[in-house]
Amino acid sequence: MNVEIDTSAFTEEAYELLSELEDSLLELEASPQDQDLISRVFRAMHTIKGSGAMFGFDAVAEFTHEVETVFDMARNGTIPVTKQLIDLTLAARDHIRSLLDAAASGDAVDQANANRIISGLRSLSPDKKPAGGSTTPAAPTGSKAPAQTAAAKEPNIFRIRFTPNQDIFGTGTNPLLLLNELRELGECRIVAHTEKLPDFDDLDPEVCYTGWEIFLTSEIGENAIRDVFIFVEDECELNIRLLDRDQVIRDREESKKLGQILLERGDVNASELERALMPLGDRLVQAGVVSPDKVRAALTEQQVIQEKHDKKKTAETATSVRVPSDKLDSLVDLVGELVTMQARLNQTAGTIGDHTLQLIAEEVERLTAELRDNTMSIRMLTIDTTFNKFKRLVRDLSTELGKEIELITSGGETELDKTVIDQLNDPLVHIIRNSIDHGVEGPDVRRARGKNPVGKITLAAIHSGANVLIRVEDDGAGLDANKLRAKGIEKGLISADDELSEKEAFQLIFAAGFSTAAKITNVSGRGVGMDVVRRSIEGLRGSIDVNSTLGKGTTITLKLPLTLAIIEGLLVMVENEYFVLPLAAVEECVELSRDDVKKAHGRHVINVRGDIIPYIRIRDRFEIEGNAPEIEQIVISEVDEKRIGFVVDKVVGQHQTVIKTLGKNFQHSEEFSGATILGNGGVALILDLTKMVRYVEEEELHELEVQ
Amino acid sequence: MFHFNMDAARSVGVLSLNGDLTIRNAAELKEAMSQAMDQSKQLELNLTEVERVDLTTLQILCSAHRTLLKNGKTLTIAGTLSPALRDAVQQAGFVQCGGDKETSGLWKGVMN
Repeated sequence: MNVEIDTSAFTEEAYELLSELEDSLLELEASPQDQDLISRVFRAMHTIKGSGAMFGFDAVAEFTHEVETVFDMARNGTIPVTKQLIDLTLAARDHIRSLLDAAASGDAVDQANANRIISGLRSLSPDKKPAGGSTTPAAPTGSKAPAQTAAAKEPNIFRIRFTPNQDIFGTGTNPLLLLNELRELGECRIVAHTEKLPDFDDLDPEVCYTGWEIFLTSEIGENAIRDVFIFVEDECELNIRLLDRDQVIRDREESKKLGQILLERGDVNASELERALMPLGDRLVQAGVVSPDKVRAALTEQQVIQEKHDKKKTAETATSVRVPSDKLDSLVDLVGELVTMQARLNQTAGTIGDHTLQLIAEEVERLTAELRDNTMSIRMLTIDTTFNKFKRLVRDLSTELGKEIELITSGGETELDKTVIDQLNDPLVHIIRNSIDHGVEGPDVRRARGKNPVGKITLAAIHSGANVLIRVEDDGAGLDANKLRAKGIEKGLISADDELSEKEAFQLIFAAGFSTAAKITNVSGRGVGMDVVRRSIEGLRGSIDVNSTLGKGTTITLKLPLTLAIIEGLLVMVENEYFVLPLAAVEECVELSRDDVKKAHGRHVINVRGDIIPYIRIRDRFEIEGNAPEIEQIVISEVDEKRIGFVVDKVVGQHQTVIKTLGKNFQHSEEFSGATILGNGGVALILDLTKMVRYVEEEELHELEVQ
Repeated sequence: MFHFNMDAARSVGVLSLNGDLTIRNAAELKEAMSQAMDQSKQLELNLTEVERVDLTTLQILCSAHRTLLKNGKTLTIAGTLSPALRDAVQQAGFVQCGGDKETSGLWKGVMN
């Protein structure tokens, strides 16, 4: 019988645990005394080890075991949490990751690296003092440690009641292995409870009827015992009790020797021995002070509280479901189709003019909108996982470059579409690398400039309408517009007599092949970074903006749409052509009559309640033939924090817009961010207002220059 | 894997178990035990050749032992236990199992 085991569940979980591990380690570095964090690191490691072994990832299990052992010492206070320990553990975490990758791809792993990490970790343990002695902890910790070990030396006696669920074999668990693990923790007396074992005829051979009571004498704490049962937590009843030490010692003096001998000879049943060694309740019952019922009730009460707690825990774990992301993608595709189809239904219902049909169409429209919002919200992820990754990046890179940099993040709870988040990672890496490498100065330079020697990079996400702004801010050297200009001329990107505003000069960093770093490091400065960044951000229908003050720092702001698939749009018409403007940008619609045009003396501006607003005629812009109607409509929109009007013939109304990318042949028409299919089967182009305004501005400036 | 024969001279049924006895063949083991139990008043187990053992085997043997005792039959172990089985009995804390006052434990004689 060959059982194929699906290991994807393990690898998926392991990758998740590894990223959690990384976060915890970085937090731990900031607060090395935090016991909770130490335990969290330990548990993550323990889970990886355990399930690794269960799924046959022996290399992972073996390696993790080494790391876990050292961290266990940290947890017990035997060794302090030092930067060295964290460095090694982070390296170990990376190695575990590469082991997992290797298991998937079949590549060889770097065994030398593993050995280096393990020997590094081993040298931290107190019983194997390192040869050089350089890692000896500072005096206060050194003197504290023996005291703690001494306290731990006093052995505890635990009574562990372990009752697996009847179906525990179904999960592949072998309870005997768990018992063996307990034996490794200390001296163990194990008694099986087989009362539930039925008569032979009623026996189901594949059900677990046995429970155990284990008396463990050991110096370890309750946590270490719980860790043994970590994988079966939900598949068993577990009750661990530290027996009263004084009582135990007293009892032991008189009864242990005798009791143990009797037990070993098998003359006394272990449960009888336990009765003698055992809790107050039972003794009281025996002495006739309280009735057994009362004790039972008290015990039940205890149990009920425990059960309640367990139930709550299972309820919490059941609230989320893991779904492969391609299923979500296809769900979104389907919703998109539905939205398109619904538009057609509306259209048809309108043409036929049947009242009942129209009512149904409206109902369907409402439902579709709700379905769309729900689906989109499923795809929304918080950006904090992405942010957390950068903590590691900043830490490693700044150490490599001999700089001290602190990363501050805010707005991690901001949600973005999964596709956007996935594609955001690389650009952000480039930007942050640039900040670390070129932006923030070394500590000496910073001190000389009167700055805090520790540099600061702030990573923030903020909502703004239908967009999310992501800001990377450093307090480094800032961009030197003159230097940029000189470099631009040198590289032939601009001509020597070009007049550039500061802002335009900053934009040069996004030009292909532009790098101002005098020395090229392996971190950044190969001149391939920022133009790729801009392209990928624009690929996400976003924009990128640079601001900098020389000597103070640089701020790079990414503006990204919340979602890429479906947006609310405003459908407009020019002659027979349909266009969609993103509704989030639209502020209001006003009329434009021939008189208004005359009053402005040919300039494309209009006075709206005292504000002068420039406008762009879409008819002229796209050279659509035909005559404009007597009264046109101006859709006033906010573009780059300015109000700009777009003149159209007719505003049709709100439209749920499923964005379809334009085919290859139309990729160069950058004024459109895509197209959508209308209810009548026609196509409407979606306008990219920002780019359109930029082009019109450029053209007008050019015309002025020519004149 | 399971072999049963009647020792006519002693009127004792002898069931020999060998190889791996784990959850994968627990159902077959139960069936073999069941047949052996039906055929003999006194049943003897030969467990010297047992290789891998898990909890399911121990449960089956213990339950059989108790049921037989209840019905006035006996279950005994002939010879010694294989090292693997011996370890498993110890690990699982079954040494005392069935060792109450009224009945004698199944493993008692063979664990020392």
